[in-house]
Amino acid sequence: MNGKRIKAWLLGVCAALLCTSAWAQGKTIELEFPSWQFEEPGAADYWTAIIAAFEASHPGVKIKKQQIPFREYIDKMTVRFAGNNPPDIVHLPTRNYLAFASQGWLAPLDDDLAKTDVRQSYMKLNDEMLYDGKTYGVLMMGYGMMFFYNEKMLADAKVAVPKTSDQLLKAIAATTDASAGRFGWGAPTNQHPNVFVEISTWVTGEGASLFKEHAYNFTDPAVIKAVDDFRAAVKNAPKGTSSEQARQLFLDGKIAMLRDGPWVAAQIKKAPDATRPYLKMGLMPFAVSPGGTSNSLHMPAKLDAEKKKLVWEFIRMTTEPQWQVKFTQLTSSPAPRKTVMAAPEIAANPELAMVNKAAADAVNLFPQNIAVREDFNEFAKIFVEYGMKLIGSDRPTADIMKDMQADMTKRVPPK
Amino acid sequence: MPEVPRPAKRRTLARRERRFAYALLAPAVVAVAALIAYPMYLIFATSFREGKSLNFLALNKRPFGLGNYRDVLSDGATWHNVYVSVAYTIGSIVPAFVIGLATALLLNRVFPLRRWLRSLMLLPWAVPGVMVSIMFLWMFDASFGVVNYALRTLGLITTDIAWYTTESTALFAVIVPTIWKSYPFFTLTLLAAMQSIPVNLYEAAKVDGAGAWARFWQITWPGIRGPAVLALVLNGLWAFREFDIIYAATAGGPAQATETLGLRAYNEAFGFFYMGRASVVGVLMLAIAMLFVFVARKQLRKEFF
Amino acid sequence: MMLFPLYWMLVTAVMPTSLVLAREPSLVPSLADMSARAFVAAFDRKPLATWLANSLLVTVGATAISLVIAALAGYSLSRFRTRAQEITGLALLLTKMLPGSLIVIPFFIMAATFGLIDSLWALMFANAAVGVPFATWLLKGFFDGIPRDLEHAAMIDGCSHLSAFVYVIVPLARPGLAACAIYLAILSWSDFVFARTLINDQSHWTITTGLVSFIGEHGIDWSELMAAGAMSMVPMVVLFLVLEPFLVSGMTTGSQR
Repeated sequence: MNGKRIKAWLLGVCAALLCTSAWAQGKTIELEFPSWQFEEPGAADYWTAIIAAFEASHPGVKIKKQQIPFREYIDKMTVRFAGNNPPDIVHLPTRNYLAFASQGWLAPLDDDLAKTDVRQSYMKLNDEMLYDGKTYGVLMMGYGMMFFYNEKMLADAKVAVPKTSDQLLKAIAATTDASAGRFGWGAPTNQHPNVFVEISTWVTGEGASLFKEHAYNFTDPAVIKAVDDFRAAVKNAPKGTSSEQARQLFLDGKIAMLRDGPWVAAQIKKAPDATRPYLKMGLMPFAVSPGGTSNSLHMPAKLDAEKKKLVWEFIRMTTEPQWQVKFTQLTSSPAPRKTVMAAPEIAANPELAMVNKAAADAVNLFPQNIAVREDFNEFAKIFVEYGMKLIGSDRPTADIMKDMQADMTKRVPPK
Repeated sequence: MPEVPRPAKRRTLARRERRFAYALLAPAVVAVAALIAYPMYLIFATSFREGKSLNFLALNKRPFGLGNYRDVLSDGATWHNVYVSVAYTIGSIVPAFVIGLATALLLNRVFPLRRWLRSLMLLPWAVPGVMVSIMFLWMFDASFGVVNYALRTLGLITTDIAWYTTESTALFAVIVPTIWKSYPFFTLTLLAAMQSIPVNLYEAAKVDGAGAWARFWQITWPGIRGPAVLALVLNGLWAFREFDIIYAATAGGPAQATETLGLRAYNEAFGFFYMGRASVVGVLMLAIAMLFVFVARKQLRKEFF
Repeated sequence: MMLFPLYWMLVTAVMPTSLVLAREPSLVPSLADMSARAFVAAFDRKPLATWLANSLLVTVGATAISLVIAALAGYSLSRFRTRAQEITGLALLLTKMLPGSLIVIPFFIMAATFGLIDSLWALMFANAAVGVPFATWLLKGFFDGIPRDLEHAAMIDGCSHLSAFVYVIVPLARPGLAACAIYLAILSWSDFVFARTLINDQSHWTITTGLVSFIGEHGIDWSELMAAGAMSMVPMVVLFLVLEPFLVSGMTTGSQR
């Protein structure tokens, strides 16, 4: 280790660095596109296909995909916008977009949208893109929650496919054998934003709601009963897993039942041969079908004109009928264009018909209050912290929900 | 024998020498000023900026006041963070010290392959904190981890423990990897100190009939006491501010069970975007660390300067 | 027993997934089951080579920068008693107290202001900065152990003080510089909080941010993750095994002051 050698090294390294950065500034335009979906079977196929088509019709333009785990996705995006370094194509879970729009970080798309038929031919859920009289994005998908089950595991435990939440809880208990590594229920059980989705699904599904007009409703007896049921279910779920891991364990035949979005149906097609024939999708065994908007595409407010044009063209491409059909085919999820479900290749598929019915009947499980939506990330974080107490401790549900009601009202006050 | 220069020449020489001394020091001073002192000033200045600040570049446009200090210091969660930080620091440093001492004593003996064993024993030090975390996440995995398997086999547990997602076990589960990562530092410093103790002291003690226990307390311990205290202080400060291991394992969860002050600062800043509050937590951390250094100042002065 | 975690990492890396996700894992795997599948898959699925190269670049750069700065400063502090000495001692202690998770906030603001988000340069400087104080202190100890007569003799022979330092003292301080280089390299190589916060672009990630990205996705493939982890350790382990004797002897000289 002598000084000269180190200096030589450093010089070489610097030269290499300069060369690569000079080379990177070549002629092609790169559109940066971060998402959590690029490794998700189904969605990943859709993005690969549409990006390839876009690049083919736009020579000299390259879309650069960036895979970011969902668990940290919103934090990462917020840091990027806050640090004045936004991506070019903005992909967000729709429940979070308002926080970005209210900061002035997203560009209104009304002028561009006026030249398309999106307003007339998209389902009503697309109205969530409206904020303060302007439209800040285009919906990719709205959905109803689906129920997934392993037929064989249910049969082995001699239980029928549940139709009510009581039957569901019994079936979960019957199919669980933790010492053999078999679990009746799969759910996010680590600190993960989807803990909120899981709990809200139980509450909404049992006909209650976490939200009142201008307040939280965490201490309502019907809410507490539903949360109790959630706790009973999650006792029979593998501990410390993210929702992505729970999905994988279901595909591997270690979990008997699962609530999740319809996109899991696309993943079942890629499950191991040993389990795939037994994995089925059905409607949630709840009185009410919970659902909501899933994700949407947006454009950053700060973007040069040339890129703005290209990003809009990419967003517009996703709204075209042929790509909407392709979306539903590849992801097994309802596309927002109303005519898609009538397309012959979709209507003939009973699975997609069921997915469509769930979406049509869905009751929104996400908050509607504007103040809460503007601060959804903080709301979800606090909610998940209390969710971890519900999952990992024996404290009575009513106590935890009471604490959360007070804390949340103080930290994210609804208006 | 260097010849003695004349007085006048000596003065210019002294001046030139001093200039040389400062010139050598200059890059370090610039680096420390630009990349340590200025950031610290920025933290201090930000701690007075109130409210949520989603635009990092316009922090100085936020209202100025003591509100962050009031919020953070009156928040029960902050004192929970202090408790977790102290428990984590002591809980990891004491066992790491004991293991470090034991391994140093072992490696101070002469036996074949000692050089290789020594390298292997010190290896955890070279493993990045996040990788340490990942290795233990896997060993402590609830369903397929080797730790639960061992406990099941021994009949100590009947249902799996989800170490990292249960409030009551998570702190322990982040302390274990911290011990593993930090004991080599003790081994290294203690071993170095032991090797500088003259061998003839032990020989003389042996002649006097002193047993191994007596030899340790009468010769080894006095010889390593200074470096040991210094290592404890340095490692204590390191553990107090440790971030990587906890962040990769639990990010401070579940329900803040492993949220040390360092994690709290990061989560306030990059999770909730209250830069001001995060800075206050940072100032609080520095205050506690300084208090600690102040208490240990005598020992530090002896070993440090 | 202290080495079990490393052993278990390697065992997991060479085992097929079916044996890894077993309720009763075998502690001593049979040779027939072993394969390098996970290593191939990890490189195939993630840009591991890019991340390793980025880490190497940042580590070499940061280590070199702080080693040079610290050697100059350490020598100055060792040979000339100035007030700067105490201030430096204080600065060192302060940086030891300053949590990375805290200092990254102003670093982020500074990097955003200068448009250096996503730049490996910013990462290099951040790592170099936190290394300088401790390295200076460490090296001062070594220089203290080298008799002053040596450079005096050289200076009488007509060397300038700087060349006396470069040609006489530096070669003698080699064990110290090596120990210091290990320390600095490990520091940069292990960095997570700077890399995670200052770098978004996946092609500029370092190995630590890359490793963490294996978690929280669609089921952790532990074999692949452990294989990637093992690969991430190779450069440091090689450096460590080669230079480790310097470390102990270096520390010995350091504590004999």
